Amino acid sequence: MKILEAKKITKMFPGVVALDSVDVAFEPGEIHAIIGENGAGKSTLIKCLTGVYEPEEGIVEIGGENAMKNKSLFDKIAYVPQEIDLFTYMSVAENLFIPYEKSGVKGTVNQKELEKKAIPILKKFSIPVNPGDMVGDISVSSQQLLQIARATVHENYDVLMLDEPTTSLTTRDSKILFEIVEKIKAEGKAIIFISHKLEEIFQLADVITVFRNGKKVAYSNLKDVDTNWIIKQMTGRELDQNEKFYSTQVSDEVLMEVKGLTGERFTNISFSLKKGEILGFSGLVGAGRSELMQAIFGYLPVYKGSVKVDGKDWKLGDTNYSVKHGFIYLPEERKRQGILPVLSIRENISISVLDELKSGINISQKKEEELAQNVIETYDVKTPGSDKKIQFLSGGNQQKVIIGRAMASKPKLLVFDEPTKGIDVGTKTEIYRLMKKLAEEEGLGIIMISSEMEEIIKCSNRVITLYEGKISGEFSEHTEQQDILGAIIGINS
Amino acid sequence: MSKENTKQKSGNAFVSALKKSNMTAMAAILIVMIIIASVISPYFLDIYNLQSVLRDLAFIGIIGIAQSLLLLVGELDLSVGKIACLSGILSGMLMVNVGINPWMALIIGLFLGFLFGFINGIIITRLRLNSMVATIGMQGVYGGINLVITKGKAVTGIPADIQFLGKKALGPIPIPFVICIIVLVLVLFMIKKTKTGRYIYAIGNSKEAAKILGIKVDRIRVMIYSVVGLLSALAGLLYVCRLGSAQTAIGEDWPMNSIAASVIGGISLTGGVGNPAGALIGAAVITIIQNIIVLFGVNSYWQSAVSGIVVVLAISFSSISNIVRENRQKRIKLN
Amino acid sequence: MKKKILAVLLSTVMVTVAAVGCGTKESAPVATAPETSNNGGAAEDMTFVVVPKCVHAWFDEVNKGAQKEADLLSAQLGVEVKIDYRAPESAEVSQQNSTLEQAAATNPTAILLDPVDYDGSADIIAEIQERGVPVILFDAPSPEGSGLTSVGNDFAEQATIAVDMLVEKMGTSGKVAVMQGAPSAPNHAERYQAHLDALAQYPDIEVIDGGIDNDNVETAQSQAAAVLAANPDLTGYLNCDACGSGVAAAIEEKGMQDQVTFVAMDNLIEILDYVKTGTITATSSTLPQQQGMYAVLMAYQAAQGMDLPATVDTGIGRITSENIDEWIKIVSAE
Repeated sequence: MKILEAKKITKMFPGVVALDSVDVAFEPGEIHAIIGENGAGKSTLIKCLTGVYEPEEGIVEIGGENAMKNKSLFDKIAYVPQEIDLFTYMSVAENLFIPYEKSGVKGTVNQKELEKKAIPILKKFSIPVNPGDMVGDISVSSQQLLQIARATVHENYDVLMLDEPTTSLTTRDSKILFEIVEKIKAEGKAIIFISHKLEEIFQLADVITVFRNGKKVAYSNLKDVDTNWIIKQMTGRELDQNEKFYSTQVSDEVLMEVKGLTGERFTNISFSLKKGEILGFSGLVGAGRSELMQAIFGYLPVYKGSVKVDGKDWKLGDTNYSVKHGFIYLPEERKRQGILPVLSIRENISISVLDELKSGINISQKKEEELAQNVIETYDVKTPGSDKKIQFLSGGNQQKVIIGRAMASKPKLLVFDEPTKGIDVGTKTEIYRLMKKLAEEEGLGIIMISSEMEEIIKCSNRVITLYEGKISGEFSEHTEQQDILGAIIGINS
Repeated sequence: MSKENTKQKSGNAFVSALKKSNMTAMAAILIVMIIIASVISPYFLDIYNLQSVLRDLAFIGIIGIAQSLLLLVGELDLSVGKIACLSGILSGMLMVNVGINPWMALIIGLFLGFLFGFINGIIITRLRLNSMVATIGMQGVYGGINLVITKGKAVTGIPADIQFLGKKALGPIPIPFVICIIVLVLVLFMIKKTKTGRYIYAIGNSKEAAKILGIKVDRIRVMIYSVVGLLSALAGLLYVCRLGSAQTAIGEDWPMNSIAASVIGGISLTGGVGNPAGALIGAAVITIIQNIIVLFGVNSYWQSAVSGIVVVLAISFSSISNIVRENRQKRIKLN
Repeated sequence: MKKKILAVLLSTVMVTVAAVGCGTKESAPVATAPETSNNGGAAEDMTFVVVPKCVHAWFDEVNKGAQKEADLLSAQLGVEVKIDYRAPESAEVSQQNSTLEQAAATNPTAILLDPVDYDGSADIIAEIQERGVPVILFDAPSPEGSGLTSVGNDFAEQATIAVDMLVEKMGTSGKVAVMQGAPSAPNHAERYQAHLDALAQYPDIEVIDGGIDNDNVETAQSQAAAVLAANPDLTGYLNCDACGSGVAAAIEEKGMQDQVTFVAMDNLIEILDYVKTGTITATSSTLPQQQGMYAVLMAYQAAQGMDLPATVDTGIGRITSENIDEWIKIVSAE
């Protein structure tokens, strides 16, 4: 019996076929993983299945009925978006039940009653907060779990759709989440699980559907396939799982020397970075890694300590100075701090090198376009043209544009903050290769902050771990994952 | 079949891009308004009437262009009217009471406007204030200084040899409008062709991203506030020349009108989107509505309601056409 | 000493009555002499609080008049008579009420008030009077049944005078535009209606809508420009507020000074300048200094426990090319 089924759906946007005659079906009591590269059509599929988009062709059936004709059927799909969209200044209980009609709260809203009703739900999802707590004050992990809890509050849902639910979760909380998902599965609900993390998919899902370029390319039981099969289906080519990306051209010259740096979220940090080296920074979310790098970069204040680059004192607290002197920071919060969303790809690239594009006082459009085309080709950005607004690109392509922009200003020091967040396996590998190439061929010093242990081990020449704002370990390449993990959670090895 | 569809859509891409731009839609509405006005009222195309419309338009236009710069970085300045007025008063006093060369006094007046804007900018960036609230406060300050020094009395006796700046025309075109166009050209050049212009759009897109790109965000913001102050003073001084006296109630409607003109012209209130030329089109819409309402003999009690309705209709035009298009598509598909 | 005071009182009351020209003359001035003057020469000092609608040049003139009268009283009575001028920042009834309360707390001899909204302040006024502090209104009609004395002028009369001056120059036929001020301001509305009523007496004058300026000079100018464009045969223009310089500028821009007779309102310096050049044929003026003077006088009398007239009319000043130099001198004098 199929509870949710898409039949031959096609969805088009100007110039692009986002979904091309896709058939996919979901059954109760089954965890169905959906995977594909960025831009493969997953998001469009989700939007068609939740009734946000209407496909040009084909229909969506829910419980055997045509949902195109009866929109209320879409209420049976509980969707949990990737990004947290809770009301920060409202209580946990209020967030859980809003809008109140859907969750069976009738008439006037009674705060006490709401909080009472919230308790069993919080217990079921093991969320360690009180119903009266302000959502802005609870941890990101709890928020993520709360968001899932909220989707399941209205009783008559049949399908639970989880879009990258673990991006903000710690390993411990991911485990809790998986237990809950198993429970919901046992209740006979259909679960759709969208994730880039293959490990999790193997751990949790029963069946998998793979998308590529708007088409469904494969469907299988998970117990019949392995990682290589999935990657091959996704990318259309084989990837070497054991490929390493650390730099083989580390120079003896020290590029940056940090001594005794103290700021708001980090204390007494000292380390050095060599030219041509990739230095990994690992740690838990909130360990102070981003804050440390942003402080060195000049974005956040430094209370104490000094930084030398090429043996000279480095001016702190001035991003303009940093950029001018070849230090570029690629932020984790790409949407908020990286891209200029409503500007074109061309304008996003040229913004950091406008001085070089000038003819007289004027910006030369010709030179600007040349630069943009160059970046698009060199970094293999998938776009119809340089005029497209950057916000319409997929995350991976945005990241490529930002790297291209950074490289256009010929830096000597690059900080990548979570460079592959929200990026698919194939593109990830491309970005690793790019980092390696920059370090080896251009002699750049690269610092990579990452929460993914695998990528830290694959890419770093050395790894420094932070725990609660202090350095808790330093490891050379080939260190075992276990040792690094210990340092991350504060266990001295 | 599906491919054909795609092609058809991309063929209309240019047209739909034009439709999507509020500025072009507004320019079309403006032209329609002008046609209707000239058909219904024989006096609309009267040279005197056109001149007085252009003259009125010049003031809202200059302030609107200035305001649009701030809107592009996602901020606004509600003290533009008071800056205009105070610069005019101070400049007028320098001419009349102190007796310095009127041209010199005008230049000092412009400089004072620049200074007031600079003060706004410094206060807002250094103390990290919300621009709207801070400039509400500052307009009280500038208005208050104005009252203290004038006690609400106008400065009369502005020398005749500078009054032509407000009163005369260059050929058929009133001088304030000529100046407005010069301002627009300079601003467009800055915003579209120079580094600073790009930085303004970048800041409007995301202040954080701009700072991480190494752009001196606060310095540029202060610069924009200063330019807004300068342009406000320019408009204020031209109005002094137009009236032949520096009056204390000039510019009361300018803050709201300049914001309305910018938004009508397609400039986003949240920053990063739009073209200052849109502000001039918006200003033209506002001015012409007010003019034709009187020409058509609308009862004066009704005037503000009618002009309000026309403004709302005008800005609804582009979204209504979107709604209509969507509905049509839906109907085609359901059949 | 006592005689002197009486003489002053008598003469001032006579002046008042003369100025009023009509009004209640039933007051009995001699009935109660000030009791305070009994304790030798040490008469009590007096303080009159002036509470206008808001900060405005017009009220500064009222204050000047009040000050003059206070100086006169000081000199003649041999006590210190002070004016305490307290202007609310903006014309809001709540602000004015708190100003009133603060003023009453200082136990002044009397309070002179230009109410923003009498009904909104009626309770507080009654309270203040119960505490024995007399309240005199100025620049406003005496609200019915309040028993308060008000010093002011008749705005309708001002408008009627304007029509008289218009007809004098233009003749009894032609096309006249009347521009409204801010319709929500009672005196603007009153003047507008009076304009229309007075013009109705002349059947050969065609009256048209002259626009609305909402008390804003720029709006006055653009509205007048459109009216002039649509009515090339206009012969007369009237307005209802102090924005006449905007209308005058529009008339000059179209070069219609010789064809259009424009009678404005108020005596602001920029308006007087246009009277001087002839673009404005005539204007009229309320007399704020006189209002201040007579309001203090009434307050003084009330403090002595005397009966007062219900209204004191300070009259309207007519300003034409004949007396314009004199008026410019008065208004520019600081």
